[in-house]
Amino acid sequence: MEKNQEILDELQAISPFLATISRENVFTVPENYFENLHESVFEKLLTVEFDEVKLINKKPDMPDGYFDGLSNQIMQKVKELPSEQSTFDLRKIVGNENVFSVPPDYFNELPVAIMARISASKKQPAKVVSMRTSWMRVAAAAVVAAVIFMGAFFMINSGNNGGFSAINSKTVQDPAALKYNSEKKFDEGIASLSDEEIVNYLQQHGNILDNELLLKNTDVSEMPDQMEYLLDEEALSNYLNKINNKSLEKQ
Amino acid sequence: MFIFVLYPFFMAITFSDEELLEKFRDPNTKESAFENIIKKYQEKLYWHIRRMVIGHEDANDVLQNMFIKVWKSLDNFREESQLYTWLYRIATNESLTYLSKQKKNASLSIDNEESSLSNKLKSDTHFDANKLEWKLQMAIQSLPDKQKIVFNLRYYDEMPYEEMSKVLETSTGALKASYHHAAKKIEEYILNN
Repeated sequence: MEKNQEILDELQAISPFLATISRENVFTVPENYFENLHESVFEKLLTVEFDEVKLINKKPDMPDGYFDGLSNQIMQKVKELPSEQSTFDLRKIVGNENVFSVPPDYFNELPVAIMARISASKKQPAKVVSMRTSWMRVAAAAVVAAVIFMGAFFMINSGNNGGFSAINSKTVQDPAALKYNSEKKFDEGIASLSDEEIVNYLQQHGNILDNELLLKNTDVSEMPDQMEYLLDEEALSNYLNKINNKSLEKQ
Repeated sequence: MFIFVLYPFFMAITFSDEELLEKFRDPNTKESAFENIIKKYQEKLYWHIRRMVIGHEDANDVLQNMFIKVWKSLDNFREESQLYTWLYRIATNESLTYLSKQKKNASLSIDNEESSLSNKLKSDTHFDANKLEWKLQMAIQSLPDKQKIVFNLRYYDEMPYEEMSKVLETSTGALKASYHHAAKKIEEYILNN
């Protein structure tokens, strides 16, 4: 009561009006609320704890400290296994069947075949490569080079105004090629070459001609730039399809 | 026989906080000790919370959640503070957290917290706008949270400033000033409405 009076006196000093108001509790609670509150709290507590137990996925019958010694127990069990079982053996899982095959008796015949080749190589005299070069072979090569060069020159410059009339000592560096300065002479030169000579020459020098022809017939402005290659995997494929369609249209 | 049945109930009321805490630490009496703590403080804490959040269902939620937290953290309770002030602190913080959540929800709608709590008061089946006690409640809802808590603890719970200082972790001088301002504002509100 003394404390109560002290508080009332304090309020009286601050607000005499407020001190006159009764402290009646205007709020109500449901019947028996406080009698049953502790039961409600325990029910909620069980629910909360059950949820937390579920969260950590702890089994009710799992002994305390189960995981603390689990790794040691497993390692001990591994050590107790027979040595051939304690190592990881992939063959037991995958099997060791060989999926490849060899001809029948291949391995029986292989040593015989190898020895036969060795003895045969001993009987043959060593191949001697002559360092001398025939002037005839050099001359033939020069003719082939000149004719093929003129063919390439003609193809590369086919779109220009020149043609055979453009062949002169300024445009053609090889003097031997100058004599093929007309279509007739060029055709005769081509006719004098064998297929083997043409094929051999193109095998050695074809890349240069291919590159020149490619550059000649390519519109660089239409080519994809570096960024397009990075952004689009299909950039090159699309470009090749585009120029392929153009060439088909021309045909 | 009658006395025997009522004996545990009366014993619970008469247990000191120290005795209850000692029993709580004993696994064999932990639950019964906690039940006694609930019974000992439930009404005081309920009304403290109810005056803050107004609605019974809101107060019930806050009170039960508060006791759940007490159960979880009572093992770590440091006895240099009283159980009584510690429980009030938790109840106050839980109420403020609850109101803060309500405020966030209210900010999404047209209502603010004050009008929301005032509307809750008005929606009470016993609300009487002409009755001074209801006007007092309306005036309290117009106060800032801190002043509201200080006024309620002093006016209704008759809590000494020293204990209130432990609950709210505020100096007694600041609490006295806060109570003074709150009482003046309430007077002004009631006289003008």
